[in-house]
Amino acid sequence: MMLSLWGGLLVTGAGAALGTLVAAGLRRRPDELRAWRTGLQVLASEIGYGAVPLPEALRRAGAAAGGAAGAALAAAGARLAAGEGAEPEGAWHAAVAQAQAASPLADEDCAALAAVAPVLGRTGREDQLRHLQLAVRRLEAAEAAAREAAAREARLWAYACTCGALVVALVLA
Amino acid sequence: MSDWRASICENIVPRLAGRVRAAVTAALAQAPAEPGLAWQEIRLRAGRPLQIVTAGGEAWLGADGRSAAADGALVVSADEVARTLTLCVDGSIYAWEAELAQGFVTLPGGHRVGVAGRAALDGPRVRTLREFNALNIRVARAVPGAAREILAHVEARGRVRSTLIFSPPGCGKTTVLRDLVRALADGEGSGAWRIAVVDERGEIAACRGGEPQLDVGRRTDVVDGCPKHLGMELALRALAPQVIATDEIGREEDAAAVLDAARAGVAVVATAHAGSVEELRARPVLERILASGVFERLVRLSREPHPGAVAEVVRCGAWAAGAARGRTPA
Repeated sequence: MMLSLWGGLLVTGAGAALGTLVAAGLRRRPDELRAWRTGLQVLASEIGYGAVPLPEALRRAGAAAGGAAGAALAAAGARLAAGEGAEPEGAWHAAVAQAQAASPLADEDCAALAAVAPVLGRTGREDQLRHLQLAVRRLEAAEAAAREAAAREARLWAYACTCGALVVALVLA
Repeated sequence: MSDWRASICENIVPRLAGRVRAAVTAALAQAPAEPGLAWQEIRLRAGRPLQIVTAGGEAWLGADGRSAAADGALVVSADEVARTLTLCVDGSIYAWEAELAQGFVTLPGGHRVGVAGRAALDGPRVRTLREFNALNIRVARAVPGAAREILAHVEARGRVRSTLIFSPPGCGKTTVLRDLVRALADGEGSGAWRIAVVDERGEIAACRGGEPQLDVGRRTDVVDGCPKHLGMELALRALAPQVIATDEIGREEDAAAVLDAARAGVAVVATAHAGSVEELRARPVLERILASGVFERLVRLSREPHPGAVAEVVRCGAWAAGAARGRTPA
């Protein structure tokens, strides 16, 4: 009897933990999108108003963004600063791939970020600003949608997993 | 590896786009080391073959780096031109708009990349270039000792004479001026001098990120990328120079700046394009400066027997006095 009780508690606990984990992932995506948005806004400011060279601008944007976005931006800056023939487009794509591997970014988030790559550093200030601001707006929309989805689905996942585990525990008992 | 090849490998090759980089790297490995055959230019033109220019002539390069006939050479694409320029500016075209408006950017090592493209205008002024279609990468070479001949004419009896160095293009005016500045600032003559270089087009010191890429001496301050008349005014006001050096004077506003400097007791060493004293005098602004007696010496350079050779030295004192009285100088 005691064994069944402990087993049931264990299964229920595991289900609740799984639900919390999924919910945390859902809540993390808008935070990560916000970090990218901050990074892009700082990048736009460094480029548009300071005309700061791209490697340094990326480093500063990375420091401001923090998290996986910050690490990816800083890595892109370091790749360009190494002076080994790395081009902004390749460095940016690598940064986006690095961030996707380390955070719950959706494919459409990465597509919005990747759209910056072909023009990054290759045109004048006004054009750079225009493209970065467009990416910021797309991320803003994605963040709002992700936050709404997180609020709706995170609780659902937490409850569903806990209840599911409870049902399994009762069946097993 | 010789200096010129090492400098190209270090400062230019990493900034070339893929296929061009491979061809240039291979060509460098095969290039003879003699200074007389040193590369002077690497030319990339969209849709045209890759070209190098040496002291001995020009050659088209194949993808394997070997000399090739023009129709068998590596044809550079517009994308390769754009990517090379992007690499030259550390992926930051936007940070170099002022330089691009002047048509060039400077690489580490002092190499200059002349840029051709579509001009974006802001009224009558070129704001920047875009849709780049050609790059001329000019290989910089410091020539220590280039000013040895001229130094004795410029510096004597413990002072620097205001001097105008002139010649047709390609005779080494800028090279001689740069080495003269270095020699004066490092005390290779009778004394060491505080010098302000007003480097409007970045050809004398070749600054990148504020740091001169070519040796202009230990006591030299560089006012970079500033119109000559404003730069000379700034130098006089802020840097307390004993000598001001600048390249290619000839505009109306340059005359007033040169006269101001002379009145402030500062020697001016400058260059101008002209094949002879008569050609100098045919330019009204230069004629006015010469007639004012600011310059004590006019030095004409020649390509023979070597670029930067002193071909003629004119003492100006008597001439200026004669010009002031309306007589034709001897």
